[in-house]
Amino acid sequence: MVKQATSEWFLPRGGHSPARALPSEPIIRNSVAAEASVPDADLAVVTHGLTKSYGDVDAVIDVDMRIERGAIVGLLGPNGSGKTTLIRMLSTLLRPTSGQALVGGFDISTDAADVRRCIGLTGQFAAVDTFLSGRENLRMIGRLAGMSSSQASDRADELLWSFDLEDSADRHLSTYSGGMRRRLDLALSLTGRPDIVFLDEPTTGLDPRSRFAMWKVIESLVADGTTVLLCTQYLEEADHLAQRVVILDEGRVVAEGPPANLRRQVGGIVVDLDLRDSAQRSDAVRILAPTATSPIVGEVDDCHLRIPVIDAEQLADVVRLLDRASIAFHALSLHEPTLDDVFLALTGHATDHADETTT
Amino acid sequence: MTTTSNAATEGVGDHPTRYHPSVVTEVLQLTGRNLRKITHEPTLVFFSLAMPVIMLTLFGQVFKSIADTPNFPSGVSYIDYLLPAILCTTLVQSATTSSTAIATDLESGMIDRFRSMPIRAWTVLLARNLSDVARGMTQTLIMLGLGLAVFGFRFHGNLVEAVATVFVAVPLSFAMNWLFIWIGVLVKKPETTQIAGMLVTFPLMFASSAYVPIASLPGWLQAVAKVNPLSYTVDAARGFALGSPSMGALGKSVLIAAALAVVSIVGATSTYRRIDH
Repeated sequence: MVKQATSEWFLPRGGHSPARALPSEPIIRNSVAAEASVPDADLAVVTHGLTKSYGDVDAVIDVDMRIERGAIVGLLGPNGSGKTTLIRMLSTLLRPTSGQALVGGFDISTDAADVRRCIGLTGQFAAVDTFLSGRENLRMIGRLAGMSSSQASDRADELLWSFDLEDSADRHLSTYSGGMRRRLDLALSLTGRPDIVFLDEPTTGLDPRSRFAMWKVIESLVADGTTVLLCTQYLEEADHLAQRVVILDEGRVVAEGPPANLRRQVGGIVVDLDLRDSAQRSDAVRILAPTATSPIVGEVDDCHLRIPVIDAEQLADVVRLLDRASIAFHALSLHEPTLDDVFLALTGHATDHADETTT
Repeated sequence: MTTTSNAATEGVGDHPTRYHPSVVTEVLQLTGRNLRKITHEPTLVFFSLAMPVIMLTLFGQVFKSIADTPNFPSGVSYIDYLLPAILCTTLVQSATTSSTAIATDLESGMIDRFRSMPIRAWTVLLARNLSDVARGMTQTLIMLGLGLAVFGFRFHGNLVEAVATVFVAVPLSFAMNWLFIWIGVLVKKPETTQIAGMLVTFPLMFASSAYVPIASLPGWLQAVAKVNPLSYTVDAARGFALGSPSMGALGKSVLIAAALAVVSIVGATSTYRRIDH
């Protein structure tokens, strides 16, 4: 399958417009046409109005998504935004309440067995058998994926080498570090050589070195034509790996596009402002609001504000306005917008909701 | 990290290995996996044996004098009466670990992995059952060895009857393991399954003919004991051990086990298929 890196923006298809409308760009129309020209069955993943409700609670609402084969798409959102629910539906673990999805050209509701034959899933917790060694885990999954005993052994050796687990291949898993378990978990998901890999927060809880190692593995997957849907809370991770990101908030797709285009949505630059007196915070927000390209957000009970502006020239305006209102500040600096800023601009709240577990 | 792109995903597009594994392969692989857990963790078997050993020791002493009461078969020592029952209750108690094991697999994400693979749903459960019946039987044989070597237990019948004593409880073990697999997939929390296990096994064990003759129980408890499937299995095992086989008890024991197994298999597999849906 030809790898199609979509470099353009497109709005989510279907009747549902994002909760907060994004400023439109001329390329939007073109890219929707380009996307729509690919038949559904040729896409790695396509969903139409995919919805999952638990009683009155909607975990995923009306998601329309198209992932071309060989792409790596980041699925971003805070805890409870529906990322895991979406991944679980796509990997046939959860039945959707309504809507449709094709994975590898197969319907997740009616052809679950076919879907399972072309996917690999790495969940949030390392699903490895702690009573087996790394090699035993890989061999078992290989045999269960339909390989002969010798094929499964060869595949295990191959993966142990690829994932730098050779030295500990025959050791009990209790001796494995968190990073090693995650690598083994990913290796297990790849044992059957899936075309499409769903990764649900594969680096959560890993130290920076292990995270970087994981990134290398994910990059190598995509280099070989595997389609990857990467669920993450780390904007930096999506920024680094994904050609395109889909941002979920409260179960809905609120934005979609290449990270660079999303950053452009926020404006050219973000001003970081540290106020001297937190009592003046609301005054500062009110005065600077007309200058900002999207709502000014800052951490609660903090003097820190992020003000997205068009370009550095507006820095002077910011300073002048603050001076005129006699609002003093400790420090003022500029940064290129990150996906974190994008998320704040789109949803009005930050990504670091650690209070709820994922659904 | 030495990662080459080729090795991780070599051969994407052509799938020489993408066929359904056979049922036998699935069951063997999954059963093997469950059994390896036992060999990796022999302390588990040791501690699961602690309960029946304590019962054998305590009850052997506490109820010794019951052998002199009129309801008790004459010429039989209490240990000869008790041990066949202990063999049966060991299997019943061991079955409770099925629910904890399956709940642990659910919690760890192992079941998610299996369910996201093209593996038949029921082979995962059958493998759980087979490995746990095998473990229960191992414990039973160890208990029998202890009974013979330490507690002075003796078979009263011939060799065939002795073998039958040990294996008569297998159908009930199979059925009870399915029941506990069902409880495991319903409850889903390993800690809760342990409590559920106690709640089910304790009444089964004590409101039965396991430790004292049913006739010596209070009236209402006799009524319970008479509908308790364990009573019939214990009676059958005891009949073989004492050299006076009761075909009626054996037949009832097998029938009840079969009925319980059918209900539990249907319940467990349908619950398993609907997990998370």
